Amino acid sequence: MKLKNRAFLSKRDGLWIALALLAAGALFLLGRTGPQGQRAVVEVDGQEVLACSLASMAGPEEYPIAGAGDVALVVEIGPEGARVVSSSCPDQTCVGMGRLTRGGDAALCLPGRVVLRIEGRTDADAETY
Amino acid sequence: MTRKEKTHPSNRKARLLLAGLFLAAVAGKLYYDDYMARQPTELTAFAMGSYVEQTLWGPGREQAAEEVPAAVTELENRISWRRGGEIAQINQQAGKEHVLVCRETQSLLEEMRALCKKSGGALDVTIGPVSALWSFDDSPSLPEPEAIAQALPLVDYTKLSLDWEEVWTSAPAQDGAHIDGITRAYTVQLADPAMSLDLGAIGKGAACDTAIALYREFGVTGAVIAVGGSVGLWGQKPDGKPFRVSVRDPAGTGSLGVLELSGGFVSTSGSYEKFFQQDGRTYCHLLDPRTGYPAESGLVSVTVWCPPDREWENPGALSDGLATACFVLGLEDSLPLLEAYGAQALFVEDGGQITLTDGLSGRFTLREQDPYFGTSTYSVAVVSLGGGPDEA
Repeated sequence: MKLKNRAFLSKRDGLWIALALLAAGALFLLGRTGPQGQRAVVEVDGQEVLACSLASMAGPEEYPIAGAGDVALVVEIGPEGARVVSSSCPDQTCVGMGRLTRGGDAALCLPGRVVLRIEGRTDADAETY
Repeated sequence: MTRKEKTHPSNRKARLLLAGLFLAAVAGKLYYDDYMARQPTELTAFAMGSYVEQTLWGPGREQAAEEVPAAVTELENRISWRRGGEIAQINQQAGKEHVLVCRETQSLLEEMRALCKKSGGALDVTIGPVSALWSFDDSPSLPEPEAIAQALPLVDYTKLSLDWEEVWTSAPAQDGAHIDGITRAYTVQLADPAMSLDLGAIGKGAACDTAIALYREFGVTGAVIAVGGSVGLWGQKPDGKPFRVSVRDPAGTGSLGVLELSGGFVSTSGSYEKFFQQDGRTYCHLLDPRTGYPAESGLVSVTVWCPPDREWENPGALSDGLATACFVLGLEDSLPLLEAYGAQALFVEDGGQITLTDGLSGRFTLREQDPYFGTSTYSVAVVSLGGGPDEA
């Protein structure tokens, strides 16, 4: 007399396997988060218009940026950092900031509502000036 | 051998294995939830003519962050002389009528008027007639001496009157009846028709106060708000470490150093922020209300820290106002004022000397000099608020 084979896994077992796979997937995604290195980012009125990884730049390159209110800027981004080369704004504060090199550094053009900043590891939570 | 004996052992192993995997999944989910709770919400925006940066932790952080830009704009509408809000109305009605204001405006003006008095007029919120001559926000130029002499007597915080009276109020209830009560009506008046308020010296600090109040309301456990160069620090970071606030190098090439703080508010007044040059001279935007001309106190910048858990209703505005007053007063004359408010400061002098009040001496780390950018050499000294200078 042959014994009838019983299923190795039941429906409940399948549910547990699905939960385990979900946990594994979550852990996998967690492992993918983390700092991606330094980037130079340009925002106009809160919208990102340009982003470059500094490490990927072979040399400095200039980019024209159209700010708010007809303000025109030129930014330079390179492996050494980023800076505002020129701006048609009246106060030139953004140009005066010079080259940004550290994560968290930022040059602001308020009349043009333009922000050039370096994203990446920073050792400060905020800057006072 | 029975059917049960033949199939049970392998099924038991499978169930134990699956139980282990399930526990691993639960642990992973709990770790992921904790990890996500520790991640900050970061938001940037333009408001009040400034770049607003927020970093928040804890529940309610996303909703709170989204509310802040509009709240800062509402504050600007209320306290900027350029908008049609309460401050603009006070200026319009100067010498004529009392203007009804909200509790928040009354509180702000009351604390700032007290600061004007304690600073001996080094800060004066009635500086409007003089600041209008210099016009630093539009097209700055050197005013005629006669115009400054004519405007200077109008700069007088003692002629800003703040009053209140109790008034009956009646509000309808759900059952058709009325709920009667007493509330306060706050009024403000400037004595002379040519006088005007200008709160530009404290606006960004006041914006930080507005943001922190929202964070408190939404249950945010930790936050950093920066409005221009004024910074508000709320609660705690998830790792429990102090907040790190970088102080800009007045030479403009990066960071002078980092302050490690438990909370509170930080503001800086610096001559490098706004200035113009005419006939070989440099004129900065930090005006001395007592002379009508840019302050010349031997300082390049002053950073003021108002520690947390003090009794001030507007500590952010206070830090901003103190920074301006201390820049005008200079290092020595600032010390009694700082002591009166329980505040601390970092002074940068023309010659490159940095002086910390003793409450900051263990909290400031000077950046290493970077020969590539040719930054100046800074030396650091410490001064006691209650006594004479100490060695660093």
